Amino acid sequence: MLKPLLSVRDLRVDLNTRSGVLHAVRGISFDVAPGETLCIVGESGCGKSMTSLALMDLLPRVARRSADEITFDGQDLTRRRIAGKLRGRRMAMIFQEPMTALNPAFTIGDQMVEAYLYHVGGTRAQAVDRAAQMLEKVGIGSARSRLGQYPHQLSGGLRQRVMIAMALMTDPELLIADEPTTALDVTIQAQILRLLKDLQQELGLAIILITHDLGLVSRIADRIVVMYAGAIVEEGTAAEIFDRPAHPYTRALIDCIPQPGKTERGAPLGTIPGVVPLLIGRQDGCAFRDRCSLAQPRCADDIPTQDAGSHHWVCIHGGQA
Amino acid sequence: MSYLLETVGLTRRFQVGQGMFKPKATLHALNGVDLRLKKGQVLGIVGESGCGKSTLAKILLGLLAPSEGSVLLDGKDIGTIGRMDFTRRVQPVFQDPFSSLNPRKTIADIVTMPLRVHGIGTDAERRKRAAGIMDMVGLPARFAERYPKELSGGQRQRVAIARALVMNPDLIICDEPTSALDASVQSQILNLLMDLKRELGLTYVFISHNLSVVEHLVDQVAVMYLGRVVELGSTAQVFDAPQHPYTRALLDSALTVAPSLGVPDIGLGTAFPNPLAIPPGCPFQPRCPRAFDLCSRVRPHPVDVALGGAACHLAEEPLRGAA
Amino acid sequence: MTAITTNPPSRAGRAFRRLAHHPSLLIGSGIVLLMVLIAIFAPLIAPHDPYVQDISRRAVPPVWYEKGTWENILGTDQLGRDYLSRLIYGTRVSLLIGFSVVAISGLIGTTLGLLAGYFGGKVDTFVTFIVTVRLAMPVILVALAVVALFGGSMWVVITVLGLLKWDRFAVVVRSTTQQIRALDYIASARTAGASTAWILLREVLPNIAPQLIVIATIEVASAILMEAALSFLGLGVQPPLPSWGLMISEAKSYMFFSFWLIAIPGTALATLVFAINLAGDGLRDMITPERS
Ligand SMILES: Nc1ncnc2c1ncn2[C@@H]1O[C@H](COP(=O)(O)OP(=O)(O)OP(=O)(O)O)[C@@H](O)[C@H]1O
Ligand SMILES: Nc1ncnc2c1ncn2[C@@H]1O[C@H](COP(=O)(O)OP(=O)(O)O)[C@@H](O)[C@H]1O
Ligand code: SF4
Ligand code: SF4
Ligand SMILES: [Mg+2]
Ligand SMILES: [Mg+2]
Repeated sequence: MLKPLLSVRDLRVDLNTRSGVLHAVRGISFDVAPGETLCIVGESGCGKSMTSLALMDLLPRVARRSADEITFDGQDLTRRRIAGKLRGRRMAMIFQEPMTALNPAFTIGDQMVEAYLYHVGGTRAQAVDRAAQMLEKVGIGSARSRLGQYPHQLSGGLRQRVMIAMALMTDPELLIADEPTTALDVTIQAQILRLLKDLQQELGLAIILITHDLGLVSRIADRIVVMYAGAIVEEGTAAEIFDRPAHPYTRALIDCIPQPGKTERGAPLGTIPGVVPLLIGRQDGCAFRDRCSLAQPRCADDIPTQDAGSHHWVCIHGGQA
Repeated sequence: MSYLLETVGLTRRFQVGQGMFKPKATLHALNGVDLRLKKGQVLGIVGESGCGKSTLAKILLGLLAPSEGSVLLDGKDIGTIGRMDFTRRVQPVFQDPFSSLNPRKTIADIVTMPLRVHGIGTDAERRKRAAGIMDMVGLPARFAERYPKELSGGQRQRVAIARALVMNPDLIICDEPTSALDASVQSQILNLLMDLKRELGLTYVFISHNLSVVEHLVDQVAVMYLGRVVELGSTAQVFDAPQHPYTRALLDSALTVAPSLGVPDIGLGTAFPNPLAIPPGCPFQPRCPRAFDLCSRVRPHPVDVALGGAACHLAEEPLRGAA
Repeated sequence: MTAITTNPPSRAGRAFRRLAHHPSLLIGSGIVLLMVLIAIFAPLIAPHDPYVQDISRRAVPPVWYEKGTWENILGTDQLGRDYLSRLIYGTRVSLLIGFSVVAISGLIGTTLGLLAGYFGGKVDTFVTFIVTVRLAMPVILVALAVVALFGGSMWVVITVLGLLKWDRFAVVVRSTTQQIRALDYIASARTAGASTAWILLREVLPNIAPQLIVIATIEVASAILMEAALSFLGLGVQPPLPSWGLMISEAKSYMFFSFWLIAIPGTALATLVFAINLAGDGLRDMITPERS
C-alpha cells in the first residue's frame, strides 16, 4: 500500500451521559491511502458519525476524544493548531443533512466564497470564479445565478451537490462524507456518487464514506471497515467483504438485504435477533455474542484478530465459511 | 368486480403560494391515476420523491379528498361507505415510527385506540385483543405498559403494525414502512409483513423508493412519475423487462450488492422534475435519454389499467421500442 | 437498546425520583401547597374572626415589637381587626382569584388555540385576529373601566381577568397544535375513524399539557398580582373582605407609623408569587428535556 494519507490508531470517543460514560468509539485503527475510497459501514448508533466528527475535531461538547495517533500526511492532527490549519483546507467534510451544514441566512455563493477566502486567500473575484467553476463541476447549470440563491431555494439533491462543491473549493486531499446520499432519491444518489467517483479520479481525492447502505458500499468502496458497537469487527477490500465475508455480523448483515437475482422473491429474509447493545460501560469479550448464531462460551473472553492478507476480522472463528 | 381496491382517474391538485406577491400556482400531485388490486395481492408503488406516492396513500386512507376521480373498495365508492365502516377495513403503516405513536400513551393504549374509537368490547376484552395482536407481531407482553420512547425503531414499527391490525382490516396502506430503519431491522419488519399477509389474507399497497425491497415483496408494480403512473405490470414484467425509460433508469440506479458493477451512469442528465412546470408532451422528456421529436409535442397514452404496460411512445410500438 | 429489557420503575416512583432532581419545583410547590391548605382550613387556623373590630385595640404591633402581645401575633390593623386572621383569610381570596381566573382564561385560550392550530385556514385567521385585538387592549385599563362600570367585587374581578388573560394560552396552544397536527399519530387516529373532538381531547391535549401547566402557573401568579393591584386602587375586592392587595391599600396612609401593616401582606404576596413561579420553572425544567 502507498504511504497512508491518514493514519488512525486506537481512536476512542467517550461521551458523558446521565447514565454513565458512553464509549461510542472503542479503540479503532485504520489507514486511508491517497486516492482511495474507504467505506465505514454499520447499523445506526454503532459510532460511525462519532468517528468522522472525531477526525474533523467537530465532536459535541460532551464528547472526549483520545487516540494513540491521528496523522494526516505525517502531521499530528491531535494538535489543535495543526488540525485547524488542515481542516476545511486539505481535509473537508460533507454531512448527512445538508440543511444543517449550510447557513440558511446566507446565499450559497457567500458561504462558498467566505470559506475559500478564509482558507486560501486571494481576491473576492477569484473566489467567485472558483465557486462558479466548482458548481459547474458538480453538474449545476447556470452556476453564476445559483450563487445568489439561499439554501432553502434548492432541492435536496441540489443542496447536496452544493455541499460537495463547497467541500471541494479548496482542493482537499481527503473528503469525509457521512451518509451523503441517505436522504436522496436513488436516481440522484447514483448521480452524486458517480460525480464523486469522477471527481476522485480527476483530483486524486481520498474519500472516507460513511453509510449503513451495503449496496452503496459494494459499488463504491476500495476498502471496507465494518463497525459494530463502537469497534471494527472486519476490514478488507470490497471483494473480500462481499465475496468472502468472514465475521458472523457482516454475513448476517448481508443476508438481511434482499438481493435481486439472489434472494428468491417473497422468501423470508435473513434477520439478526436482538438489539444493538448499549454502549455505556465496559464490554468484555465479543459485543455481538448475544445475537450471534455461532457464539460459544469462549466468546466472552478476549477475541483474537484473524488475518488473511489484507483481510482482518475479530472473531474466534478463523475459517471463512 | 373482483377487485378489492380500484382507483379511477385519481387527480389531486394543490394551490401553492410562491412568495408574497406572486399569485398561487396549481400543483398537480396526482394526475389521472388508475389502479386495480385484487384481494390478497401486494401492489408496489415506486418513484422519486415528490412524484405523488404519499398523496396517493393519503387519498386511499381517506385522509385527503381527491380533486377528481374516485376510489372504490369492493366496487363501492369510498364516499358512499360509512366512515366507520371504511376505517375498519383500511389501515395505515407510516414511515416514521417516531412520529406515528403518541408519546404520551402507553403501547396498550395505542394498540387499543381504534377499538375504543369504534366502541368495540369492554376494557378487558380490548386488552386481551391487544395482547393477542402484540404477540402476533412479536412484541413481548411486558411492553404493554411502556411508552413509545422506551422502544427501538423496529419495535415501534411493530406497534404501528399491531394498531393497524387490531380491527381485522382487509387492506393495509404502507407508506415507506421500513425507510427509517436499519437493514437488520428492515428485514425483520418485511418478514413480519409477509407472514401476516399469508396468515391473515391481507392485501397491501406498498409504497417505497427501495426497489430491491419492492421487488422482493410485491406482486404488481406501478411506477410513478410526476403524478402519473408511467409503467404498470407484474413484478416480473416490470423488473425483468422494463419498458419505460424511466423505469430502466430507476432500476439502473438502484445500488444492489454487486462489487464489480461500480456506480452506474444512468444518463438522466441534470434536469430535476418540477411538479409546478410539467412539460407538454411526455413529462419525462427533459430527462429521457431516448426522447425524440414526438415526445416534446405529444403526450403518450396513459397506461391501460387492464393490460399494464408503459406510457411511452416507444412502448406503444414494440418494434421501435427495441431499436 | 438494552434499557428495554430492564423493568421500569412504577409511574409514581419515577415521578417522585424526577421530582427529587428538581429542588426548585419541590420548594415552590411545597409553599403553594401549604398556602392552599391554609386557605382551605382558614376558619380552623385563624385565631380570631377577621371581621371583628375592636376600637380599643387599634394598630397593635406584632409580638416582636415592644408593645406587641401574643394575643395578636401579627398585631391588629387600624380598625383593631386581628392581622394574622385577616392574612390567613386573604390567602383564600388570592388563591381563589388566581385559580378561577386561570380556569376561565385557560379554557378560552386552549379552546381557541386548539381550534386554530388544528383547523388552520379561516378558523386560524379568525383566532389570530381576535388574539391581535385582545393584545391591543391593556388588561389593567380595561379591568379598571369594567370595574368602574359594574362596581368592584371578587366575582367581577375574576370574570374580567378571566375573559382577558387567555392570549398566552391561545398563542402557545395554537403553535404547538399546529406542530402536533402534522404528526403521523394524528393521521393514525383519523384513519381509525376518530372524531375531531376525540383527536383534540385525547391525542393532542395530553401532548400540550406540559406547556399548559407552565403557562397556568405564570398566569396564576400574574392574576394574583393584578387582583392585588386592582384592590390597591380600590377597584377590586371590596372591604371588609380581606384581600392582600386591599390590606396594603388600607394600610398605605399609616405607612410611616405602622410599617408592618404593609410589610406583612406584601411579604405574603411576594412569597406566594415567587413560589408559584419557582414551581412553574421547575415544572418546565422537568418536562422540557426529552432525554431518553
Ligand atoms: N399539502 C400540500 N400542499 C401543497 N403541495 C403538496 C401538499 N402535499 C403534497 N404536495 C406536493 O405534491 C407532490 C407529491 O407529494 P407526495 O408527498 O405525494 O410525494 P411522495 O411521492 O410521497 O414523495 P417522498 O418520496 O418524498 O415521500 C409534491 O410535489 C409535494 O410537494
Ligand atoms: N451528543 C450525544 N450525547 C450522548 N450520546 C451520543 C451523542 N451523540 C451520539 N451519541 C451516542 O453515541 C453512539 C454513536 O453515535 P453515532 O456515531 O452518531 O452513530 P452512527 O453510527 O449512527 O453515526 C450512539 O450510541 C449514540 O446514541
Ligand atoms: S467472537 Fe463469538 S460471538 Fe463474536 S462473532 Fe465470533 S463467534 Fe460470534
Ligand atoms: S415518450 Fe419519449 S420522452 Fe417519454 S419516456 Fe418515452 S421516449 Fe422518453
Ligand atoms: Mg450517523
Ligand atoms: Mg412520501
